[in-house]
Amino acid sequence: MKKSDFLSFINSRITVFDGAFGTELQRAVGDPGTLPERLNIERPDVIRQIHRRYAEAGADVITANTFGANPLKAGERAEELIRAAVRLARESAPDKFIALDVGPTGRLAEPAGDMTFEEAYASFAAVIRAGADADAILIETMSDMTELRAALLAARECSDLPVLATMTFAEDMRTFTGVSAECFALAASPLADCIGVNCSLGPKELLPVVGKLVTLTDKPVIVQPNAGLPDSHGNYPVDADEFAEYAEKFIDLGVRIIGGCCGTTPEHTARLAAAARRRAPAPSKYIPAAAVCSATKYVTVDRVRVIGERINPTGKKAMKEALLGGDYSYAARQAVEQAEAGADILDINAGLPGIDERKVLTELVRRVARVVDLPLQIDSSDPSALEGALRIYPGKAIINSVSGEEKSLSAVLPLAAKYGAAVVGLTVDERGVPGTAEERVEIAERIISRAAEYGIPERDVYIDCLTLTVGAEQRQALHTLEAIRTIKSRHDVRTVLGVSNISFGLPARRPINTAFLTAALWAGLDLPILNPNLPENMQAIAAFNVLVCRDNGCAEWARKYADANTETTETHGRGGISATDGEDLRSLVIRGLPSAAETKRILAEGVPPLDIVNGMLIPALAAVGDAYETGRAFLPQLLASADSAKESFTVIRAAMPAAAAAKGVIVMATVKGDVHDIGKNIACTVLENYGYKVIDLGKNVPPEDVAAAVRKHGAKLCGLSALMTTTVPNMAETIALLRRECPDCRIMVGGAVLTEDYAADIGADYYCKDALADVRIAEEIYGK
Amino acid sequence: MKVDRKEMLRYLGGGTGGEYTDRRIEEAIALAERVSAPRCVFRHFDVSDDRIGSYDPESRDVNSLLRGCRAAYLFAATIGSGAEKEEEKAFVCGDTLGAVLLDTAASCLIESYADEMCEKLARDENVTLTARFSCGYGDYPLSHQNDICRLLDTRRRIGLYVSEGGMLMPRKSVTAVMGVLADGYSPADVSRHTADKCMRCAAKNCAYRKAEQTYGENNEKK
Repeated sequence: MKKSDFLSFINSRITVFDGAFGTELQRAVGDPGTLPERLNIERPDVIRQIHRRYAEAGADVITANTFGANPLKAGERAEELIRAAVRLARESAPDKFIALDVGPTGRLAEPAGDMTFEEAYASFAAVIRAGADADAILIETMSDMTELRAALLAARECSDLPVLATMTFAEDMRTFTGVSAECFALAASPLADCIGVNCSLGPKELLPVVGKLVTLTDKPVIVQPNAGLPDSHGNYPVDADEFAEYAEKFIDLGVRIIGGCCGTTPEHTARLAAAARRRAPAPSKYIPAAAVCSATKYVTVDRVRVIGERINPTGKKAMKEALLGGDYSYAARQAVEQAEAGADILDINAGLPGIDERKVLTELVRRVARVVDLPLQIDSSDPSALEGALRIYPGKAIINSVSGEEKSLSAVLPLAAKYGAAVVGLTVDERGVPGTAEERVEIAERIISRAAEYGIPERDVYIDCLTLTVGAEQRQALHTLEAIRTIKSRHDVRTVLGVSNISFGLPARRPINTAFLTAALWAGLDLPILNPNLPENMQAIAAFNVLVCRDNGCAEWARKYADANTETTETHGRGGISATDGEDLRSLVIRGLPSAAETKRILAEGVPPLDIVNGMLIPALAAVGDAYETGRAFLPQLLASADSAKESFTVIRAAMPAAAAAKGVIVMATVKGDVHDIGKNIACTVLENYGYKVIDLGKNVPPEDVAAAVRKHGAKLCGLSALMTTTVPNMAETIALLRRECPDCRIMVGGAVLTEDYAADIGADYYCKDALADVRIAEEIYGK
Repeated sequence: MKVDRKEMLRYLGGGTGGEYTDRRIEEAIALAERVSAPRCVFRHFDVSDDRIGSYDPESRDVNSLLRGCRAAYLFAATIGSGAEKEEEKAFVCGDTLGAVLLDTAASCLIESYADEMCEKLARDENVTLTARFSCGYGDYPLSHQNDICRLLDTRRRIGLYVSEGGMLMPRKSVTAVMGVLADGYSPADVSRHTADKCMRCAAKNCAYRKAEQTYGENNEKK
């Protein structure tokens, strides 16, 4: 069979997939153990028998017994088991299509779990190569977007076979990791030939999510429900008759391919086949929408959407230093602040001279996606960096950007097409920045038509008509606005614009920016790129939404601004509360209250930063520390004070870096295999407050990475944390490696299962019973 | 499903120390409740020759729990990873207190959810159950998380995974074995779910270990 045979088959009729394999296998052999696929070798008779019964029942497609046969579950046997499975399916049903069954790896992907995209990809690639003799690839029962995309990309890159991809949805219409039908359809449709839903619930409960899905994808939709949810004895409630009734309803909805999952039997398949033969496929119900998404958040570009601009090192010293120093939490914080200020999408840029942009941009995308669910705009002029980030991004991203230059068009547009991303089209070309609106429109149209050649629809092209500085080229502002108007009137594209460059070099820039933003919105700007933490930006957009009747009855405006004097100072999400007038900094920190405003005030009064640190912050921390150690204060107070002091230190460091010079470097990590890092995080906060520079490597950190960081930073102290008995061996391994490679570094350990004796047994120098113990050790090594 | 304030304070070392932290605790509880997606799964097995169905727990403590039981349930519950994500967000924003409070509130939530679901299970199935007994208690090896999750198909059923290191993911999750003491639901016996788990635990220096006398009536009944 050829790929085209399979695809034309499913386009010409309602196609029937077989039913459950796992539950049939259990019926035949009892508990099949940890690796049911080994029966492909040990009991081929049983496997053949199940396939034959489904083929005789009328299935058009027989699914090989390869659901869990991946290297992460089956190790080296995976390929042998897969080849055997495909062969058995073919022998049992020579006149049917054979699908390679690709189930989840069995491990949970980051950030909730410990599996990386790359590990998942490698596993799926091995499965797909081993299953090359099948006629189609069925990626099924997925609940995580990262894992799904790893499987889809492996299928696309390692095979030419048609690919079907199904996810498993709960009653809230999301998968267990929070993927909605919208996000699934948007991210998976470009990479798959069919998408759909399987497992989890019975047919009745899947009707709503399927009804939604058929409107969200241009691809044929497949549904394979369970025979309901099993009771406590493992019995499934939905019989073949009831199952077939719902099959009719699915076909009414526009479903093209139907089969069964857990608990279904050849009898269910027979009834499905009978129903399918009576029916012809309904026309597609797809409603195209301009949208982007993360794994869990779907954002339509049918109104003004704000792209937050702050994760970009250009002209931002702190971000630059953070990225160069490998500190991603700074950017993560900017992400959270922008999200809380109302950004809809975040731009992510790591363009710095002397940086490995592919590596840093990819890591930056990973870290930001852990803390915000907003879709991301991946911003780079390096196609390789773009691709690195697009591969691992669990959603539909925006590429920023392609230009009208041939070199850019031919490098970037294939990436947008392959990964199903939207793309910003910058209206410049080989000749540079055009001086007129007409020329910009001409370049835009060239980008639009080249994008169409790659199959990228107009709604996924976001044209940037360029903001030039009015200080230098005053007339250009009008050309930019005119170009936006023209391109929007001729095409179904969206427009995007970095706004603040308009005022570069002028005094009092913000009023100019707001005026330009407002004018651009009226000209047809859909996606302003700006700082959402400046209130006037968000106010201008909210006001625009009122005036164009987007904000019905001014409800949103009233909700946001009813009680507020519209603010004009920059907001930063958390820590902005200040009911603290009249208290000195020392008592604010002792009481654990926000301290930034007071720190700024006394700095402005001329109090020397060192006096603040030594005269207020250190004594305050010491007072709380003493109280905690003697049982007069509790953990929440200690932490509240630590957060308060940290806030104050941040203000002081920004004002005068030398005042907060580090006493010494400490590398901190939660060891490999361990994903519980709360204790380690507490220790990091407290150590930073006592003036140490903390290099926080995060959780699940391999021993080599700890040793490399200790060497790189010349740390004399390293803190390791492990929660469970099962990960303490990794701690011991990390200590052994540090002893060999960094003999001068002392090692402190902490975590729930550790004791003084246990710590000594595995070779640590110090045991930390709590966060303050770390400080005492650091003082011993680096001095107070 | 609700957070027991007393339990929460115990996790936090006994007290909060002020109005500000009290307010933050209430905020953390509200957030933990909002981002939780509780789910559970259980399955009935016959017990014979120290085996639960065909599964051997390889634990004398489990065997003694099930002594005299002809059937048992395997049970797994999770509140999802919503709280973990919020915790990470709080940490990057410098809100260590918020992160720790959220973590603590989430721990209380999963405990309370598991209690409620086990009680519901007992009522729905009309049985009287032993206390929940989990991997890592006594001599019951942590590595058996894999077996329980496989037998309950927790990945597919409730999105619960086991890490390479034998930990449950999402982190705020519980798996357990419970023996069926008798047919017929008897509310008097069900409150023993958490009664003596600290006393059975090998982590004798655990910061959260309850003192023996705190068990009160539940303990005396045995």
